[in-house]
This record gives sequence, structure tokens and C-alpha cells, in this order.
Amino acid sequence: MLPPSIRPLPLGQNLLSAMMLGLLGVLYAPLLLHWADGWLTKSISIEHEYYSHGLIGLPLAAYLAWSDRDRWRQLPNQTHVLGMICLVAGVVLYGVQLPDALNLSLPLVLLGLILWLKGTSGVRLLGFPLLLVALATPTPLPYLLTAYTLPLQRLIALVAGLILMQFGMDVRVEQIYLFVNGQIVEIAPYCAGLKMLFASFYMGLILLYWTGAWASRLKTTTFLIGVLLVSTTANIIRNTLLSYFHGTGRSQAFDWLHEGWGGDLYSACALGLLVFLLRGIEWAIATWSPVPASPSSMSDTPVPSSTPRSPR
Amino acid sequence: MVRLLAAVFVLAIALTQALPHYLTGEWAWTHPPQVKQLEQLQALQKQGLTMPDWQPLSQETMRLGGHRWSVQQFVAPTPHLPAPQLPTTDMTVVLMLRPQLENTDQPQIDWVNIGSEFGWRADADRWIEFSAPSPAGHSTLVQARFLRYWDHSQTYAAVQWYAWSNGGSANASRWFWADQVSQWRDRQRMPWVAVNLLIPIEPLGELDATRAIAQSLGQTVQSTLLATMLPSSNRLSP
Repeated sequence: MLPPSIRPLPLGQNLLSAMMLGLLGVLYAPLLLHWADGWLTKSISIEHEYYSHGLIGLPLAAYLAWSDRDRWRQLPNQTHVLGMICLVAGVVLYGVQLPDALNLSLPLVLLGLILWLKGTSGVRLLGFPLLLVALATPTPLPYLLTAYTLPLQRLIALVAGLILMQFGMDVRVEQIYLFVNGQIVEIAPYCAGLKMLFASFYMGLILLYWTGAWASRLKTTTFLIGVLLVSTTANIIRNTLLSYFHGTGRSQAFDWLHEGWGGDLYSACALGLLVFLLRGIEWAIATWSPVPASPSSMSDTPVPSSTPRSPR
Repeated sequence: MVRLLAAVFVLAIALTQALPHYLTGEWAWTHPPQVKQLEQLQALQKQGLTMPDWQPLSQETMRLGGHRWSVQQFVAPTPHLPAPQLPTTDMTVVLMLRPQLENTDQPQIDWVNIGSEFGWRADADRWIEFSAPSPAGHSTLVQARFLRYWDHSQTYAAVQWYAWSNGGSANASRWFWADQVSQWRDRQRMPWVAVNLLIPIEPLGELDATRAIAQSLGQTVQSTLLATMLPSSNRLSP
């Protein structure tokens, strides 16, 4: 601790910090409220809805950043010139007042402030909350991705058709169309499960961070591949159920799972599976790893067995 | 200290832009850029497109893959082309249009629907390029999809693209970037129309033999759309 006499104007410093946070609040509170309102009431464009995992991610990011405030203060004051560039670019985007530009300005301003005030060590400290904010910022990216989801749509239609055929239903599959009992079901680009995949990866990142599992590359890679498989499978099952409901005229059940809270419940259950997936992977690695992981080791990557190790 | 002061100063500049919105209660998301030509485009879906030199036979609205299309039949004069093997008689072509109906409508992958809705097989998928003049005298380049549809009774050469005020492409992401430019420069969304032009050819005929005709007819459709439905909102035009 420095004696108080060497810290000139602590009040001035604190006042400026408070002003900075206050300004950020005034600038972005309406935007964040708009995002949250859109995610909760689904009154927002379909691309924007893809980022509804921000409902969990943004408060978490704020909490994580706030709990790091003492470590933030202890960081040496460094300035990265890129910080001012990002900050000014963010403010320019804010001034353009186009919806997409306004959204993008939030992560850019935050990154700019961190780089400008604490340099790269600040980014290292607050990197994860910053990533959570950046990945929850709505952009038109999902629209651009729909051009590439056609193979996935075909796969979903094909597998859903095969499953329904197992139950003896009258099913015909053509490209991305399922004809069930004469009713037609289209696997639209937005049914391809990208939203589910986005949310799953986002929750997966949070889990990896929370459990500290991402220090191990093996765990991280296995888990992320698992997330991809779980989310794709969950989506195929969902589309199969939807085709079944539509084909058998159960329109209430269809609407419940398609647009109602049934869809949200289903997604929540699939996301809940991720916790068990990570626990399973950790258990499997701990059980089958050739070398018992010592608490101090940074990585659980198995050591080649040819290397002789003397047991202690 | 100085750094913090500088950061607060920059944020305060942004505040001057935020305050008017607090006063009016109008934000970027409550007033997003609009499409100017929306009424014309909605009429296009119901009434179809009037082609200057083509003789209309029929017009109807059809539901295809979750969207409504205007489907028109025309007798189109054979383009004056120096190829001797081309048919000399006039031909009946089918023009299918799906205009944007709302501000938030965006081109989807509309082409997948068409073949399976009519029970046609599709093959020989390739690209075709043509350019059409806009009323303002600019030349707009169109990169369309060119393919063959057929069933047991009929074979068509199909030309498919999204038309917008200063270009056209079968690739929806091209429209996306044109739309971004329009939003930043003119604060307007870029209107669009999905076009599917069907030209009857002899059963399982070679697609490339029709290429010149397809280019010429596609050019006529694009320039008619530009003149009537998609007038450029560019400041250059009078």
C-alpha cells in the first residue's frame, strides 16, 4: 500500500471513473433495454433473436468485471494507442445511428476503454467478460450464414424422415421438404439449428470458464465437439417432433414447440445437458488418462507412454 | 488521470448525440431506414409486371414455399440474334416475381422451393451474366443462376436472380452488401425483387443453346424492373 500522500487527488480519480461509468450507462442503457425487451418478448428481428443468450451473458459479464475491480485498480497504468482508435471508432459508429452500427459500437467502446486505460494487461484481465459482451452483440451474421445452411437443412430433413419412417408413417423427403401424411413441412434456414448452436457454444464457453476446464486443451476440444453433436442431435429430434405434430394434425402441440414456450423449454433442457456432458468428459479423462493429473499441471494432455516416469 | 479525462471527453462527445434521442424518445431502432418503393412492390405482387414489348397472356398469385409469387405468362418476341439455329417463332415465357413486401423482408434461399413445388427435376446448374441499363443511364450487372428444369412433359431453361436498384445476383449476400451501402450512404434500405424466368426449350434440350436468348430476355426483365419498380434513390438521378 502506498501512503496516502503519494496518491494525489484520489477523489478526482474516483470521480472521473464514476463519470465514465455513468456516461457508459447513459449512452447504452436504452440500447441494452431494447435488446433485453426484444429477447424477452420476441418483438425483434429473427437475426437479433439469435443472440438471446445475452440475457444470461451480459449480466454475468457485468458481474465478472465488477468482481475484478480491485485487480483492475492494481494493474499498472499502460496505454495502448489502439485503445483510442477503438474508442473513437465506437463513438463514430454510435453517431451513425443505424441499428447495426449502434450495436457494434458497444463492444468496440468497451475494448477501447480497456486498452486505453490499462493496455494489454487490462484486456487479459477482462478478456472473458469482453468476449461475453462481443458474442451477445446482435449483428446480421446469422443472415449471411443462412446461405450456407442448405446441406444442414437437407441432413435434418433426411434424418427426420428416416426416423418417422421407423414409426411406420407415410413420409417422403424432397430436398428440404418433408411430406408427412400429405402435409408439407419445410425445414427453413432458420430451423437449421444455428440459434441452438450459437446458444450452446455460448453456454459451453461459460461452463468451461466457470469450472476452469479450459486450462486443458483436451477437455476444451472434446467438450466443444460434444456441444456440436448434442446441439445438432437435439435439433434433429425437435424437427422430427415438429414434422410429426404437423403431419398428424396436432397443430396445438406444433405451435407450442415451434413458437411457444415449449421451444424455450426444449432449448433449456438441451443446454442443461451440457453440464452433464462436461462432467462426463472430466470423469472420462480422469479415469482413462494414462498419467494421473497432478493438481499443479497446467494441461491434462496425456504424456506419451513411452516416456519412462518413475512413480513417486 | 489525463487518460481517464480523455476517455470521459470522448464519451461526452457521444453523449451529445444521445441526448436528442432522450428528448424525442426516438431511437435508431424505433426509426430504422425504410424502403421507399414499398407500395409499388406490394402492387407488383398482385398485378405483376407490365412488359413493354411482351404480350401478356395471364397473371395469377401463387403460394410457393411459404411466400406468394406473381406468376405471369407472356408471348415474347424472339430476340434479334445472329444465331441461325434459334427458333424463329415467338415463344411463351413464364415470369415469376417475388417482391419485397415489408421493410424487414430479406431475400432467402428462394430457388430451392421452385423445382420441388412443381415436381420438376433440376440440373445443369451454372452462372450467366448480363448487364441492363438503368433509367439514369448507368449499367447494372446481373449474375444470375442458369439451370434446366424438366419433367415428363416439359423442359424449361430458368434464369434466377434477385434484382435491386443498382445490380442483381442469385447470391443473397450480394444484396446484403448493396443494402449496407444504401443504408450508410442514403439512409434507405435497398428494395429487391426475386425473379424466376422460365423459357420453354425442346425436351431435354441443351441449356447452352439458349444462353443468348436467356441473356437477352433477362436483360429486358431487369431493365423493366429498374424503370418501374426499383427506381434508384440515388442523388445522381434527376
